[in-house]
Amino acid sequence: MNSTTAHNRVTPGRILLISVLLQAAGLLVFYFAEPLRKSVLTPAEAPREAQVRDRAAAARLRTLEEQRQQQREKAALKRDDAQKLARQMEREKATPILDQLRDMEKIREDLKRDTATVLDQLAERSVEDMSQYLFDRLHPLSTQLVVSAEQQRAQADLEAGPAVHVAARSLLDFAERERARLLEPEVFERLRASHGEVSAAQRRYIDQLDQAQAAYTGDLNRIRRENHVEYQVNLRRDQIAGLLGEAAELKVATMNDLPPEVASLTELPTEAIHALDDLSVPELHDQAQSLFEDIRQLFSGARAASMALEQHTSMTGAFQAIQVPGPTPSFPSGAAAATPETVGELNQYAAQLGQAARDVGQLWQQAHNMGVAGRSMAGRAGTGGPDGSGTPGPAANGHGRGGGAGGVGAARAAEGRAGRYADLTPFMYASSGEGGVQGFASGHGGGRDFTAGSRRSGYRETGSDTSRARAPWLSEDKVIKEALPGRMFNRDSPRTGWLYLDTWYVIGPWENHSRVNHEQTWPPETLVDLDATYEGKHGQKLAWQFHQSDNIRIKPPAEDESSTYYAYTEVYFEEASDMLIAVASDDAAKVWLNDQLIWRDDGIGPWRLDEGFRKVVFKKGFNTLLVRIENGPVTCTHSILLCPPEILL
Amino acid sequence: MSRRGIEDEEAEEIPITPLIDAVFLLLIFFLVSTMIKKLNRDIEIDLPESVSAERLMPARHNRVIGLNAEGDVYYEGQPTTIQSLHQSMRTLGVQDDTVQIRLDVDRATPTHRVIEVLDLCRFNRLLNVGIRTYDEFYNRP
Repeated sequence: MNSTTAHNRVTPGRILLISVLLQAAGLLVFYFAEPLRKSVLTPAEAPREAQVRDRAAAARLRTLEEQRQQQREKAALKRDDAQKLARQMEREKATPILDQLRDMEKIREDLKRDTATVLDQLAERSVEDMSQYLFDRLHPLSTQLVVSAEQQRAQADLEAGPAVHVAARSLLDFAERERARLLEPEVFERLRASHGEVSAAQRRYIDQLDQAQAAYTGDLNRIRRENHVEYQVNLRRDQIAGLLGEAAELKVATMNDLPPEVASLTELPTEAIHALDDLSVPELHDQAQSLFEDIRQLFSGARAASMALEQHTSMTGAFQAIQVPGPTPSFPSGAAAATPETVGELNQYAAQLGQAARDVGQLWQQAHNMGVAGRSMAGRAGTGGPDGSGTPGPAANGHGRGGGAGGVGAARAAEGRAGRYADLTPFMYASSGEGGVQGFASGHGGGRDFTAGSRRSGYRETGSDTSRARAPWLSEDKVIKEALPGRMFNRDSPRTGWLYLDTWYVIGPWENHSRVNHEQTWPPETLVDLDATYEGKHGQKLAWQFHQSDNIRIKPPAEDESSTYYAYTEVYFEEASDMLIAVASDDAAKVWLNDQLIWRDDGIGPWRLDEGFRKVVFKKGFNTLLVRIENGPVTCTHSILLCPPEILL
Repeated sequence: MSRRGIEDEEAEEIPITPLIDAVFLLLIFFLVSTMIKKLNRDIEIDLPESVSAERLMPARHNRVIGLNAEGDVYYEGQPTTIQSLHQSMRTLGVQDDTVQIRLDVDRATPTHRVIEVLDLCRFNRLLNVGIRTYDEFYNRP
């Protein structure tokens, strides 16, 4: 018995031998089986067949796995284990959510302060500011009316015959007469002095325009549409009528009135949420939604006040115009945290927690964007009033084709050589690199340069007498040939010429009824949310589309007439830098740099590379650029080029 | 055989049961940890094949961006939005711009979506980007 037992015992030597043999066998199989299989399947068709078989096997395995998974999910869990696992999962998810909630609390407090700053600025707006605004806007528009009429007359001479010529001549006479009348100091003093007088003057003016319009509408139809002349005449007329209409409703008391939703904003509770650590994930999710709602309301108030200041409209109207949608939470609010009883329920619980964390992440992300925008608005508002002392009129707000400030722009526009160029850097530096558009370009004008035909090389002097600001002239062919695409500037990448922004997110179209109406705002103007979808023209669903162009001209993917589009991009600068930015668009456009309006063009006209220039400051790091393009007839395009100013000096 | 000789042989026995237990425990640990890693980062996509792709050892600290056939975006195996991805890439670019980004793209993903993500990485100075292709060993179910 003993000898038999001893014979069957496992000795170390035997174990070693067996393991060595097994390893050797494994290695042999590993090294020889695969080439053997391949050698069998050497014909050309074999790999494909093998692939088909592999895929079929994979599909079968997937089915089996799903069945096994279903069985596993039905398996019951011990109550204690389930609770322990659920608690562990919750702790893991709660940690980042807590950080985000604390950050959102800080954003809310900052935004409350920023909103109060912007609202204070709004409260300081006076009737003089508004009158000055109308005054400055009417001047260039009446001038443009004259120019459009001139073009119409020239066109009539060429193509439409004497009947249209007579009609165009009539329009020209009318426009010149109106402009002369508007320029009379007494008229403007009267407009400025009294609200009642303003209304009477407006009505008279609009009636006259209507009569003139009726007189030649029939003949205008004979002029070719692509020349845009008729469109321009109609546009000016509408703009003048619109402005005068605004003046008719001008009541400072109601202009600055805060809607009830905004009035209570600064009284929002300030206390922090206590005992966050004790809350479950669903409770944290609810807290995040509540915080986000506060932030959304504060941001809406600040944005509306900022837009009312920028566009000289009533606060109530601006508040109604803006839309700040928040992300739609997919995690049901107040979802019960029941203890899972099976593996399947545990998995479901884990998925719900993940969804809640993602929801909070999205809320935090958007709150963060609003906080950044709020800081920018407060910085801008803090640098001076929209038209207050030391700050220019609306032309200085980047209204590129508007009249200049302090009467300079109007005179220049009348002479046909007002500036396309403005140096905005002093005002951007003054506002610590984050605000200050309201104070831009004081005295630099910003009026329209009507001397389109008189191109010459080098710099052309434009703008105010004091600044002697100069706009570069660009050789279109040369720049198109040599400009490089990109949106990053660093010390190691010296640029010797123009750089064009080639990468954009584009959204549109929204209906603009063939009229440039910058006062009609669409959601991207309130907040850029690349994941948002909106209802656009003809009820179509709009989403931001990534667009990269190998051409200086950026065209929206679905180009449509009479539409508004937005384009958004970011530019990176390793160091804060002064840059010359060349804006060109077909047709009208507005451009915001880091949420500050730097360019406004109300004109309908073809794309021209050197349409306008702004010297601006790009802050260190990431800078945002938002472009609004108003398309009239046919083509819609825009371009943004950057160049260090010292290269052109 | 003497009594002493039998006792010596009994003393030399190796208890293999605990050894086998330990081996199985180790095996289960590696299997489970590998599966968890796969579940956390992989998404259900049909990867494109390549005969010239370079086989790289998986990096421990790489980040995985997934794009499925519909163009939906995933980051580290979790669904995300393009705005959040912008923020994640920006943070990553600031923290460590040498980190390896693995792009898992379905063969039917719209090309413009891939370019968008590649451009986003590049814009945030994340240049260590690789596109994952079908691997017979790794992807075999």
